[in-house]
Amino acid sequence: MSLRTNALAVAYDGKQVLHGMDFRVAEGEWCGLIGPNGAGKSTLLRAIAGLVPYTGDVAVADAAVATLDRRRLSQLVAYVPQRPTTPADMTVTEYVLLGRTPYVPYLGVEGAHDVTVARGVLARLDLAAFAHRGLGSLSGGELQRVVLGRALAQEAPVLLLDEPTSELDVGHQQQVLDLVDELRVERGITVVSAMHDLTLASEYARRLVLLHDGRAVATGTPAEVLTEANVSRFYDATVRVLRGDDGAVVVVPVRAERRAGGDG
Amino acid sequence: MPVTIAVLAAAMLLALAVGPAGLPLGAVLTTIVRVVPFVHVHGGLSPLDAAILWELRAPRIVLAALVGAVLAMAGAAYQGVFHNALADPYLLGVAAGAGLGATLAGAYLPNVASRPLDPMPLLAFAGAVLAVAGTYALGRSGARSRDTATLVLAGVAVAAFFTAAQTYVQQQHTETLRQVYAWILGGLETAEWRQVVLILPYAVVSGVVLLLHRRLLDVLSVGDEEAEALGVSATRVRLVVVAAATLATAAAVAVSGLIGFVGIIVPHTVRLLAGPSYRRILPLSIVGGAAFLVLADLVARTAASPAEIPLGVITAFVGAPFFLVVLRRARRIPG
Repeated sequence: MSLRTNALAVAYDGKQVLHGMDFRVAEGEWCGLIGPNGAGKSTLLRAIAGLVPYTGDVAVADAAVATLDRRRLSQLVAYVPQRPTTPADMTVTEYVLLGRTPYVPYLGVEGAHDVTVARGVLARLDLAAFAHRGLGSLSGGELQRVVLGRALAQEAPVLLLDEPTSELDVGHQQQVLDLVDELRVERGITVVSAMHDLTLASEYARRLVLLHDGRAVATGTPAEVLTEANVSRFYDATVRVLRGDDGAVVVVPVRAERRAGGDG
Repeated sequence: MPVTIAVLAAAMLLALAVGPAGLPLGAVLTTIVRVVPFVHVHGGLSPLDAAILWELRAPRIVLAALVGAVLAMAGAAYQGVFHNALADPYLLGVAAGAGLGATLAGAYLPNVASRPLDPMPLLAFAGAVLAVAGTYALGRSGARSRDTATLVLAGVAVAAFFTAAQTYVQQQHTETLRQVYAWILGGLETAEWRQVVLILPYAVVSGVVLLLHRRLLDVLSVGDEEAEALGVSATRVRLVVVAAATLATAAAVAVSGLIGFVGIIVPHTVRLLAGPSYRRILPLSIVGGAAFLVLADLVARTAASPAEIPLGVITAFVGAPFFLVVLRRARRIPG
């Protein structure tokens, strides 16, 4: 399902943190949001999820989000924050079932179908063996899969991920992102993720949007956006961008002195 | 759940039998069973003992069960919406508001006994509701109305204001201090069926509303923002739950004074034994709270017989060490 914003702007306490964003993601596409801390990546995701007041328009599959109630919106858009709250003694099954909330009657409890969906998600993410474990007993990688499981149980065609792998080591980062990509292909999910690691972002996102001070300053394929000029200007960093023959982009931070050839 | 209900039934039966006039357990049971339609049994208590049972003990025990159920259920609900293990309805000013109401009644509406309707519980109820409404109004006018910390701080401010007003009124009317303090310490000495009728509708309505919100309380345990991302308005759920829990607590305070600790001990014990889901915590707290207060009241009226110990003193006295044991147990559980 496609996603579109039009002149989207957000202000916190009178301070403008997002200026007139025009942003478009095609159905089934993975779009990566990159940019330095405070650029507005998280705010953009939260505005799309309807969690902060904004001006302008957000549309999911050509339906204006402003006309949808919260419940309907959460059937279309699943949002995973950077640091999800995971109550230590809640079981994996209980947590994943929370993802069914948009379908459960307001004062009711889950039905048989909801339990079936949650079971399916646990099986798909190889979590069946953990079903009755408390969240506090899981490792970082397992916990991230469980969090993803709750979002999948929402059965929303749009998945918003805020720094999904920031707490994981490199192996678990790849496993989680591979899983997201498999699910994207399998289920035709549209993915928008804020990412810190530029190399990883270029590996998984077909398209990148570089944000700076609440504005999109560059949009395009990873090769187009991740230039040494862009990264040094907007991240205030010194990097070398290596390009492989297969189109891969590798961003390597280097020390300024070495780059200048000071100590060889 | 069946175990908890059995404990409650045993506690109530024991409390019915034990007192200054000891009633044989078997005869008590027979007398109760005789009330059930279409059941015919022989024997039971003498007319005098039956009168003690029905007019003195039964209303007091039923009232203790209702107040205990309400306090424990409201405590569990408050802990759920405020994500705070120490939250209970007293947090948002119920105690201070009820205290001021009772003090005003004692100071300006004397001769309580001659009135058809005791003004002290009525003003205590009004004060409790007013204080929580004030806390909510103040908390919401803050910069970030979604922040529960703002609400809790507003509760501290409102409680300080009401307590100051109460202290001032007491200074002006020192002759009523004793009466007001006896009420504040909490107890069920004067329990009658009339008070059971008074609190029953609040307890039932509040209980139904809170039980209907059991799954939403689970959703709120992942935080306001994630709850909203799942399609639930955390602010609205919090308002409804707080309103239901507060009304029932105000009714309980009005008939029994301030009885502390029940709203913290009972839900915590339940949480340790039955896990974090409010689908189990709420019903178990209702039954467990009832059993706890029936037993505490039994101690209050028998430990120093013929004198009575204020029930609020008993719950604090029993509650504090119990709380420590619970904390130590919690630490031994791995994870």
